[in-house]
Amino acid sequence: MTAGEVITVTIRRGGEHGAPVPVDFRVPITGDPTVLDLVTAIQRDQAPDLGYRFSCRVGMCGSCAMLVQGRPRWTCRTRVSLVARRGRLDLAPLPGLPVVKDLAVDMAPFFEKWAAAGGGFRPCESGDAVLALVAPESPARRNADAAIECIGCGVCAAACRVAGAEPGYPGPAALNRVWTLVNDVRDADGPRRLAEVAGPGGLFTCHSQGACTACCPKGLDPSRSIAGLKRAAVLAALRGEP
Amino acid sequence: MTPVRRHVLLWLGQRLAGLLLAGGLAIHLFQVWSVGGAALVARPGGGVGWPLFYAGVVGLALIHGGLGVHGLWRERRHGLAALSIQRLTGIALVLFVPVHVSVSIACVVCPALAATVFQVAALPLHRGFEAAVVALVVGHGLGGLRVLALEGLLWSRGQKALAWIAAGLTMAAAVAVPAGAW
Repeated sequence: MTAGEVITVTIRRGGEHGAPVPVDFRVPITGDPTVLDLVTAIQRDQAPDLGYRFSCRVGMCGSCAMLVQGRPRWTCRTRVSLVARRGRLDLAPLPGLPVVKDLAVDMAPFFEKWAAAGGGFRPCESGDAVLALVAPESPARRNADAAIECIGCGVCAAACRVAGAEPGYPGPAALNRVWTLVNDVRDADGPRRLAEVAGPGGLFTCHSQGACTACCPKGLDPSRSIAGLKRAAVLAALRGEP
Repeated sequence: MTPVRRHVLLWLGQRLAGLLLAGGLAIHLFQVWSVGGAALVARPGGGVGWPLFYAGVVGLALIHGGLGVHGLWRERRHGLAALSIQRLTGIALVLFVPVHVSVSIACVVCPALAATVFQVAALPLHRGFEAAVVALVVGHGLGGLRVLALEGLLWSRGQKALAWIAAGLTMAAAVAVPAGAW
């Protein structure tokens, strides 16, 4: 798509109580817009009641994630020229989460899975108040660093077909978070965390298909984190834990 | 043993049985290629080595396939998400292997039946069937090794390369059979 052309944007509209209905909008292209630019233009000029979510617009907050041409993406970091096909663009809310309105979903279930998987840090109890020395080059810290930059946008969970099919599965983001904590020497819950996510319906439900890694806008590798958790859980089981 | 530990160890058992089975089937396929199925069935000599080897392979197949089917049943609600190539080829092999093992044992026990079976095996149509079976075994085996590399070596960035290598070698194996290399 180039400036001056008109693109047809199909948005799956609908709220929590109504079946989603695809609605077409024709939008003139100016410059080299992002998908978020188009959605904003539609809301301003054609559908003031269009529901969608964004905040930073520069790829820092992750709140503008939605399905673009069937693939979860950050719309603020996706150029229309790279994804439009034959002058058309399909947009839908992230799958697997309740729709609040149109393109905006309720992220609460996503973060509830983080909490249920033990995604909160619990520091070791230290009586002498000595700060933990964490060597940056240690293998554990490198593992944690490789996964720590997740900002919780939900793109990986939306890309994961297992997360969509298995309600009890924590999903790649939550397991990625647990992997960072398992590798954090300051964390007091390491072995317990593995036990919480290693049971039926847990991390071994992952089919290693790698959609999470392929779609992560931050370039993280949740698939590797889950593989690391599997290996840690196997070693723990062989040691007689949990 | 806690349910979580049992779950983890069963998963490990399925993977380890698959790894050993891959080695066993590689030897079996090499045997079929080098001496032929008929010679395998009519193998002379009274040693126990090969019978023990094949008993081990069948045992590993039972463990690997049994735990695989158990996993599929547990995840039956996944629907399409579970229908990866690895699982589709696994289901096909679970259906084929019992028939193959039963017919092979029957051929060893009854030479007259073996003659009939190998007459059928010489039909051109059967060559296509053999090609499909070899593709299934090689495809499932390489796909499994790929998963083991991803999970055991934390090599997820090599995902695409591994998948292409597995697909390429599977195609080569499937073509090699009707081309007469088998």
